Amino acid sequence: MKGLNEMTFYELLNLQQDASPQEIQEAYRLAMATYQPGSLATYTLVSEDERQEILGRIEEAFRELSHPLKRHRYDQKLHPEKLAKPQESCSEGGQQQEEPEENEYSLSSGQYLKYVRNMKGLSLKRISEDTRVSIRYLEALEGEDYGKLPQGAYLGFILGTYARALNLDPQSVVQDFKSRQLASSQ
Amino acid sequence: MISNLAEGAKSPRRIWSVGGGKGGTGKTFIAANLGLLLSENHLRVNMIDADLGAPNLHTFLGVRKPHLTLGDFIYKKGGTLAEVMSDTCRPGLKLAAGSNQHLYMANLRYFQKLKLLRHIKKLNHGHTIIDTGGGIYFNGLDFFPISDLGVLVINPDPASIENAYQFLRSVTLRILKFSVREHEIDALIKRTVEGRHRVPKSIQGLLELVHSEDPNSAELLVEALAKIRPCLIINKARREDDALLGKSIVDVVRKYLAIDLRFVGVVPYDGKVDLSLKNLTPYVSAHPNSRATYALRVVADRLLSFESVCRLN
Repeated sequence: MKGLNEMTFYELLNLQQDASPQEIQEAYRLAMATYQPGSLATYTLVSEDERQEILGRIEEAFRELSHPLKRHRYDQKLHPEKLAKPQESCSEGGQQQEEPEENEYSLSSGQYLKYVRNMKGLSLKRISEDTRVSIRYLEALEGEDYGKLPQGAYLGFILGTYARALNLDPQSVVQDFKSRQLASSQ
Repeated sequence: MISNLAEGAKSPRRIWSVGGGKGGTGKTFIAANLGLLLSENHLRVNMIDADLGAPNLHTFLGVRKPHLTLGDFIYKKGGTLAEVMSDTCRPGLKLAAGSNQHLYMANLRYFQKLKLLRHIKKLNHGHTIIDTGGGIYFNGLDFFPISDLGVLVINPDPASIENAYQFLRSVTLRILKFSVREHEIDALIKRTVEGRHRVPKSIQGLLELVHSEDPNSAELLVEALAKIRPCLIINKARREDDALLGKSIVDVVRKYLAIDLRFVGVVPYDGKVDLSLKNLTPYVSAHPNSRATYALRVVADRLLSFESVCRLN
């Protein structure tokens, strides 16, 4: 029986390596429900530190496995002798979701944020209610219509808040945005 | 020794132990009705009421006053378990009822417990289902090492779940202890634990400590651990998501207790259970078409279908 740190992302989410995107999504949701604060299943068995640790690992696993390119690279690291074709992606409703292109892989790109949101089965309305950020702003972020957004530090705040709602690292996302803005201005 | 009792079992009979940490979760109800459903399929079933302190398996089977009990077997020299088995409402379903008459039945002496375990293994017909009762006393835990399937019954509430984890730790450590003695690594365990001045918080932690001292011994323990595959039933379920709770518990137990728990199913709460008990009518007989009976059939089928029956040793 492997320790947590020895488990692959597939083992962590109780998935086979050929799991479909829907299976990944369901496994992620079950794992989050299992280890969320107040979960009956963890009562007296999992400390708060252990909970934070495993939730972080679950998020990391989901981030890697839910994105086809990341998953492909991860699979290659696990089994370098196999060159698996990148898996298709799929949103909650079973419809084919547009995959982020290689050059739009960046963390703060609208297409990637929308992709992650759909993979988690979250609506803009739900995120707006949870974060108190206006739906218009969230739509503008996903559409990269930055002219409709406040500028400066407040934009960074909104982006970081949205990233946190998607369980992405807000600092990384904001830093990525700043880098892209700087690159495009040069 | 208890570990020796597992040796040499060649007969096709299967032994199921039904237990769990907390009282009142419905272990006896589950055990009794699994027995009834198995006998429905013309299987020969022996029911053993090993809840030595508070036996009432006979009540759930509708047997008002058993003529002979386990007390007669324990305190009689030269008898067999088969001699104290009573008939029940079903042909092929026999019951070794617990005893309310013998004062010391709840606290059997070691040699008496060994006698009971030995004779349970000698019952070589069909299935034997043992209602082991609640708690984590050795007199309850020690039925699991001789069983092919260990069934853990819990309710979807924090108290039951907490006690279930304690039960799983206890029964696993009890079984590992026999393996440790068998492979003569008990001194290593003692030195490892005492040398580090701390008791491992988890079984995984114990394995890591042993591995740091002697990887070969750790491998032996891992092999013993891999054979422990208890089955989980959630009883008295009232919500749709209690089935998801079962899957969650399996995952938590795998990751934090290093035990391969198998989720068998959910039995919904039914207020008619109490009524059938008061009427001394076995529940599945009184309510053959209820949701709970349907769920019990599914559970019974799943338990029967496990291909690699794990002998818990």
